[in-house]
Amino acid sequence: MKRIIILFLSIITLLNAQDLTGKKIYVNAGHGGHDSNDRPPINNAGFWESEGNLTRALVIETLLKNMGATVVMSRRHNRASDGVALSSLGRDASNQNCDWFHSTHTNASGGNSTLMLYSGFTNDPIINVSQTHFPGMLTMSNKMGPNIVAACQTTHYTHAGDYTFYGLGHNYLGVFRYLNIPGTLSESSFHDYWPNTYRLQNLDYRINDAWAIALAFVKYYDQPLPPFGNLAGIVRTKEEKTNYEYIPGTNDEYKPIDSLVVTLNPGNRVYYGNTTMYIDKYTPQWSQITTDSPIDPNNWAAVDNRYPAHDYDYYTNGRDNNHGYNRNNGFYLFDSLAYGNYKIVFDASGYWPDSTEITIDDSKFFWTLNWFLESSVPPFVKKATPENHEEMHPAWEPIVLTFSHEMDTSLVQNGLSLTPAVNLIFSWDENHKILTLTYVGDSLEVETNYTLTLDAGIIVGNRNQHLDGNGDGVAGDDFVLEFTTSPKDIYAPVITDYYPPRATRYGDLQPIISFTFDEKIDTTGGVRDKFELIRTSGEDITIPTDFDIYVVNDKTIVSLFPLEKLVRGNRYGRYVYKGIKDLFGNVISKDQGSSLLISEEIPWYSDTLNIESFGANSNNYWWKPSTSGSTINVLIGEKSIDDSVVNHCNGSNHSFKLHYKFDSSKSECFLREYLDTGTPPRQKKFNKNGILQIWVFGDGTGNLFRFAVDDPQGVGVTEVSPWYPLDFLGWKLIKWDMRTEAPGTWENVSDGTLDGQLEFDSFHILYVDSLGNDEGTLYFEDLMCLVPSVNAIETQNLPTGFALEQNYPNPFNPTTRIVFSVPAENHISLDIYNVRGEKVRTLIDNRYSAGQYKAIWDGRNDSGAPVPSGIYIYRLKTDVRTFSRNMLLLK
Amino acid sequence: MKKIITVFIVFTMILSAQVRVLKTEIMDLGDRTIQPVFSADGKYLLFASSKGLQCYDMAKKTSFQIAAAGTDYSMDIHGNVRYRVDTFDKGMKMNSVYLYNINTKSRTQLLEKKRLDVVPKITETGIFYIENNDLKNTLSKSTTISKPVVFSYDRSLLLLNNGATKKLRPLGDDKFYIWPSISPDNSKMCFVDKNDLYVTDLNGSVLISEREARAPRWSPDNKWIVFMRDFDDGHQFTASEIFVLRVNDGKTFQLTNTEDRIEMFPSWSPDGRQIICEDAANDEFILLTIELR
Repeated sequence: MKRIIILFLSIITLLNAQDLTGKKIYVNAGHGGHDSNDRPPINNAGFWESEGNLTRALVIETLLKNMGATVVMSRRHNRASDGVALSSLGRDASNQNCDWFHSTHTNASGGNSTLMLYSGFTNDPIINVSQTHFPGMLTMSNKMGPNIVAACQTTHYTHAGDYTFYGLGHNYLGVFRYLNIPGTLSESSFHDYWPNTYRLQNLDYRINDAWAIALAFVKYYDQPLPPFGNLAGIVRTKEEKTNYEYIPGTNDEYKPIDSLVVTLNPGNRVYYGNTTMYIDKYTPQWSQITTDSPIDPNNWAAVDNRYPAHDYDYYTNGRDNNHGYNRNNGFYLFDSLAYGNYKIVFDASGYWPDSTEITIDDSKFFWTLNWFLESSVPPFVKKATPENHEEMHPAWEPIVLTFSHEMDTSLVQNGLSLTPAVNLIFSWDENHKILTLTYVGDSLEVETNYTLTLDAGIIVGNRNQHLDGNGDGVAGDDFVLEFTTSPKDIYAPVITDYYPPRATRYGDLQPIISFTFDEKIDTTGGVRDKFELIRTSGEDITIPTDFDIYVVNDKTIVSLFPLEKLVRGNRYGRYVYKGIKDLFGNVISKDQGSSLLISEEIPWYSDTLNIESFGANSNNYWWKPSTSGSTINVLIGEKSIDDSVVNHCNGSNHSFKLHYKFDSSKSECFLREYLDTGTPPRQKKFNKNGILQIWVFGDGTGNLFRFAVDDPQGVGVTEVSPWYPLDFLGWKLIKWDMRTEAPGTWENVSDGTLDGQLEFDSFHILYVDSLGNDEGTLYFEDLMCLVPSVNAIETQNLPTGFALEQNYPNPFNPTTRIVFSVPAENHISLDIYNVRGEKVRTLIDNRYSAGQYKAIWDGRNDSGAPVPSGIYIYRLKTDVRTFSRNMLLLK
Repeated sequence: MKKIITVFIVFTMILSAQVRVLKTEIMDLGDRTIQPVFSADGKYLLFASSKGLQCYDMAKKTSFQIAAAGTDYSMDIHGNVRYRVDTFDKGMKMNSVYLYNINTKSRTQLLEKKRLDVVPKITETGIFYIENNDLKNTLSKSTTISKPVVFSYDRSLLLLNNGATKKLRPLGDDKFYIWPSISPDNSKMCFVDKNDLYVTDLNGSVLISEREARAPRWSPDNKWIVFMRDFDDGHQFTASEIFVLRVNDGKTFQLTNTEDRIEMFPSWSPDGRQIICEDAANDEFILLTIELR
């Protein structure tokens, strides 16, 4: 005890070397009380932001006071009455002549990033009340943000002024509006992110965060950093993955270890997981805290009157006294470590101990040492395909065994038997945990009972522990798997779906033509020649196509990609010739065909805006779904640029791949795939006169898809399209005709109108609970906006006669607008001729109801080639008469 | 950049037999405009904006700059604008006070730059300030302090009255005690604890309390207090309306009721017939012409 006291006093002494004497700092613990202004127990995991902010603020106070600063706290309790009005906060801090205002929060979004906000424009901070430009807020942000990243293991740091961040050009954050001193607001980490929700429940995690914030003031005021460091880390096991969302590619994929004991020497300091080690040291104010009860009595939290302030027992008595709750964060912290070499031993019940060494020096303050422990339970089979006693296992499908541990592969091979006997082929994954068994004869016998046995007396894992076949935690039991194979497949493949659908007039000139078969087909032996696209209007002409085959959900999709545009009003035959067979030799014996009629009413487009072609660099343009705060209850959200599933019509080499898995236990699951601001696709502006479209390779889940576009004008910020079901496999063109299809609604975000210049914002995927398909993979190609060359013009009165107005501008280069009026429904054609009387372009050839319309000519002929400068005649032909005018294209 | 423009929206809102809003005018005086106050003669508005401390001539309908930055501003009947300037020396906040005359365009410093415990109180007779826990003023020794002065200090009310100072915490500890002010007849004071408005006598005995009422200002005739009832979601202001409280019976009357505007920081005209406030949603001012009986 004496040694501890001496150590503590020495730390206080050292802190005094960071002299903040005379500085007056206002610390605001954001929100307050378990009321509507709090953020409710996040993910129902027991964490309230109001509590996290308060306890972090109290630690900041302790640290800053130890450095000599005067600290003014906005609150010290967590009752509803402590939720102070933002106008009062600004007034209080300004009135007290504080030198700085800092508001501590969580939920930065950006995956699990750190966000620093200040008043003013990004890179141009402004004290709002006096409109004083104050670059120091940016300086402070650039010191505090990286500190928090290092202390909290967030992914990255960004900063922004609230005038810019919220897009208003003036104040947004109420806490800054009436603040007359410099101020910052830290969103330390993303509390909606499951792994961080759990970490934030560890007070020591918040203590390290508080150190990061306090030391930013030390740096800002040019004081030396303390001559010691904080060592923190997260201990996990690779043998078990989390069952909640994580950022792909991070260690958050793996389950943290709760019952952690970390020992550090010299000093013989021991850290117990599931406890709060430093509560007395950093929060002496703790005993005076009063709180309201959390709304949900089943939730516990760090400040909770079910564990009264005097009940330190809960926080300090080690791992056996966690009241049955697992904090599920694996976090540990050794604070204030003098420079030197240390040995760290990691231990936990049920895991093999492990150790390492680390040197703490003056190169930085925050040291991170994450670790993995290996389970000490005997190896067992975590998953088997087929399952035990399965009765319809396809005889041609492999047997897959997933072990809990890395296995001795040769001993597994020696100890595995399958009866009736089959010549097996053994394949292991790189970690020697997943064994795939295939067959020398390509298949097991059909309608046969099989028994697979793993002999525990032979089979051991990497630590020489014998197999625990029945998974009871005790080694030595054989593993037995009994299953029956299915009957033989005797049916030929069947085409279950055509795209474009049969018996429809199709509305696109270069459709990807797909055939969906009900099973896998044999792709060898010239299957390419079994598919053909032929124009049947007039003389039969084979259309050149590219070709691809996909297998999704055990079905085969064959796609033909026309290499030229099809022709309006023409009919085509898409043929599937006999000879296609499945994997068992069942052959399609008849030729099959389906007609495809290209609609005459496909508009001519005056403009084709390629918003995003999804090239090799596009991965940087799109956020991970979990980065968006709108994404909820998504366990997996992985995005990438893919080169295996692409639209060959345009010679593309890449598509955008999105793999997702919803948490189907939740009532609402929503994924937002967000296009980052400032990226090139964001510069592509369009308006409601266009058709927004994208090719989507569907996953057949039946979940819903929609577009979202930013619409700065009007009340709504972001508008959305109607929902489109993802009930198809393979490629399909999804279109939102913004001229005719009313926007959908996005609660509290949209107002249901498209008002001005638009830019693309995001894709949305909504889980359809009734269908229960919680996982899928989508591919996207060619996001574009097409502007039809004719748009109706809104007028108060219908025209009383035909009219063809002079084009505007004139002369023009390269586009011009032609307005015409129709008094009653008529067939209208609008053609462009050169001075030699040759028709160069048909702009319109369709029926129009009464109204005024505008057509756009882009100076191109029907083949899409630019025409030369010169005089052109545009002729409007109606059912009753014809009008002509001249125009001048001047390049 | 927005044009300086005044839009008149005229209507009469009969709130009760005692309170009527006769006219509502929307004033767009530029970018990022906040906290308007009338001059003592009612001819001008002082406000802060992206152009600094501004003065709006109500007759000419034009604005001009008083200073690049300034707060706690007021203008007396002689055109003297008193305002505070905050600067930061090595990160430490310093206060100074200036006087600018709009007629002579002359500027003088009334209080040299000081490190003060709380922001100073600026009056027409002098400046009161607390430096190292010591209450001081810029008055000459011969000047008699005729009016009480109240500070929000050390999470309490520091009242200077009849030559004595008292530290009052009428509602106990753990309160902010902000926006304190003395009634024009020097008999009462009002303040906000954290969220709620209180009217007390000068001994701190509570006479009236009003929940969720902030930024109060006494009417020139002592009879009313105008305040804002603002709401936020912890991040941004979501709504705010303007109310008046009748001091003799504590009854309140709502003056504004808008869904698309956030009316904040009301201030009286010197004749008590108008109230100006800011609209935090639209960066505009709202001028209410009222009738109080």
